[in-house]
Amino acid sequence: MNPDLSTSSVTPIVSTEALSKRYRNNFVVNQANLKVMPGDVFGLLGPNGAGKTTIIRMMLGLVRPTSGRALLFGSDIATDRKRILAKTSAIVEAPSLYPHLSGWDNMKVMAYTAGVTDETRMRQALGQMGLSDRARDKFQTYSLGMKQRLCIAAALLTDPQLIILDEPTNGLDPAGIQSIRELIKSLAAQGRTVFLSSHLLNEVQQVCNRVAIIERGTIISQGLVEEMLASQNNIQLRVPAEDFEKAIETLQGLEYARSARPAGEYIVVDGAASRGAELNRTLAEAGIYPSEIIPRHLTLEEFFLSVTNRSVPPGAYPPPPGYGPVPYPAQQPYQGQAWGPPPGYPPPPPGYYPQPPMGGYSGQPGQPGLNGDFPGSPPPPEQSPVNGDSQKGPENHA
Amino acid sequence: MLNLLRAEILKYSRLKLILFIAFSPVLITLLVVGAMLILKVAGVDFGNIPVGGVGLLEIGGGTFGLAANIIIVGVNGIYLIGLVITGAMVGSNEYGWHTIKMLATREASRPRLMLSKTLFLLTMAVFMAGMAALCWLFMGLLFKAIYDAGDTGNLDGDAIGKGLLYLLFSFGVNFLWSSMAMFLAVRFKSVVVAIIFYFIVNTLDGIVSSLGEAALSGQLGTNFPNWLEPLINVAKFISPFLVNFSLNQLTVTPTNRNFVESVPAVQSILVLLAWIGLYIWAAVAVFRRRDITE
Repeated sequence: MNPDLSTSSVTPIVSTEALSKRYRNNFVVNQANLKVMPGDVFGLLGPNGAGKTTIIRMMLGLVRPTSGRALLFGSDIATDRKRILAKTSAIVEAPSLYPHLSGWDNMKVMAYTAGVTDETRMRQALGQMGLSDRARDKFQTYSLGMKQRLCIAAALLTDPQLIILDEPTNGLDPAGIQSIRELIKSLAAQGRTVFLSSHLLNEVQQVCNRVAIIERGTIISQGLVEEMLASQNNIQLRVPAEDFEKAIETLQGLEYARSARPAGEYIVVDGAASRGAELNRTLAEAGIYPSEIIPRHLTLEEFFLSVTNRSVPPGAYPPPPGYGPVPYPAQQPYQGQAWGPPPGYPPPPPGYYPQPPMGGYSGQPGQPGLNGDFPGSPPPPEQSPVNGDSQKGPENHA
Repeated sequence: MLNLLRAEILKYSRLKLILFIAFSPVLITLLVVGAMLILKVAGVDFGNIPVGGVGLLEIGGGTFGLAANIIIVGVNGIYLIGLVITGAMVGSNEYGWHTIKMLATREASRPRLMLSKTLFLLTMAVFMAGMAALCWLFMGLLFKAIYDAGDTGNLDGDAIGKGLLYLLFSFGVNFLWSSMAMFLAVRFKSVVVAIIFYFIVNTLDGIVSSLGEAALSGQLGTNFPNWLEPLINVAKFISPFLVNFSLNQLTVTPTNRNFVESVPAVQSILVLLAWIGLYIWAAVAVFRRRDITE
């Protein structure tokens, strides 16, 4: 849980309370509790069909929730829609404007709809997005990136405090993705709050300071990106067998490490991935000299895959440096889906796949953790071996 | 609301089909006048201009009566279907363009958005009526030259007054049907479905109205099978509240055999206004409550 969310007196820009949407008997969104603070670049991360767009639709009043409510700027969208939308702009799903109108005419339509009549502002918005030269061309002749930029230009006409972007880089080429990414950063630098949904983990990690991970309609993790990843980082040490117990005792009292625990021939020090030098010095002062020090920093992608219990397709996910065969603690059996190749694929070389993280991150009390035991979700799959047995120590992976 | 209307006008003024519909009175006038001038130049004798009424409708006589018969009454079906198509497009195009989400997340409330579309439809109907009126007056003046009718004085004044009233009622009903098409398009999110429903509803309304008119004006006689009697009684009861019945009451001459004296003009006007209000309310109600998932 993030202390700033529970104790801060600042009103969240977006806050959903047990927001749910059910179509027939299927909960598309189930008890979603989100909090976005002023100035955040918030990423709602989840695979396609997880419920991201439905949450956005409920936040904007496009869809009525089955239960729960969405508060924007402290007011319920169901009762204070006008005041909220006056300060909010959104692009939901694909960028859509009037195909038969020129970029300029589209800007005029959007301006009239928003009650803006200042043409200078329209020109400025078009110029900011680099579309002045194509303003007379029809929207239907624009590339996807240009359409996205025109929609953002139209969204900025009302000078919104909150900008909601649903999968803003979908279908864009790398240059387009880069420009949207820069744009999001510049919007944040202007003091605006940006709420974006995406299934692109790299994109979210690069631009967002806070994320929520959603799967099958349920928020399974939420918090500051930095804290979420820090909660999962650790360092693994190999020390001579005769010094093993002494090393654990020495490391357990460190203030910057959450825990030190044995894992096969290794000692895992949680939360200390960036403190390798200090750990080494501490051990040296105790007369212990580790033969290996392996820091593990999780990327958001790894974190996402771990909390959503997803496997990694072969070839698509080379292990990052220092993320090779590492021990898995026998005393904390991983209960999610084991990592490995999909059925039918040949087994990869030993050590190809990273191991699941040690324990799960749970953003808030009552939020489901690693085990996938959240309401409405299927029971966790049977534990299966990863290149052997995921519960065995490193010697089994050799 | 004015800005929302401006936005609607800008959206649709760039569509060729809408422009074609809006200026259809001009196009039809050019066709008719062009053809008549060619025939006149070719030496065709058009005969005498009818001085009395040109039909069973209250549109007067003389050159303006004749022009009204052509450009207002004769091609009203074209104006009507044009406005019905416009209504259906206004109701469903935002879904087809995928702009409905963007529109519904603006500050303006959904009822205001729908009312601005209705206002655009009304603007379109008024514009077309204005175009038709100008074309009619132009055609009336031109006919004077073609027919060599000279000064027809009071006859022209009477025909212009009656013609304008007919124009008001006919375009009022055109707007009514286009409002219905807009409501159906909002409901079904489809231009085609809205137009098909319009034809079904208008046909049923017309059949029941005709049956009711005939029964109420004593034209039906008594020589019909017994099983038909309950249906005729129903038609007699409901037809004064139908669109075609009300329009006929307002536009036919009192000597028309289907004119029902017992139904006052005020009632017919109120019936038409009530239908317009009902369709607009229905469109707003459907749009207001809908989950937008497109």
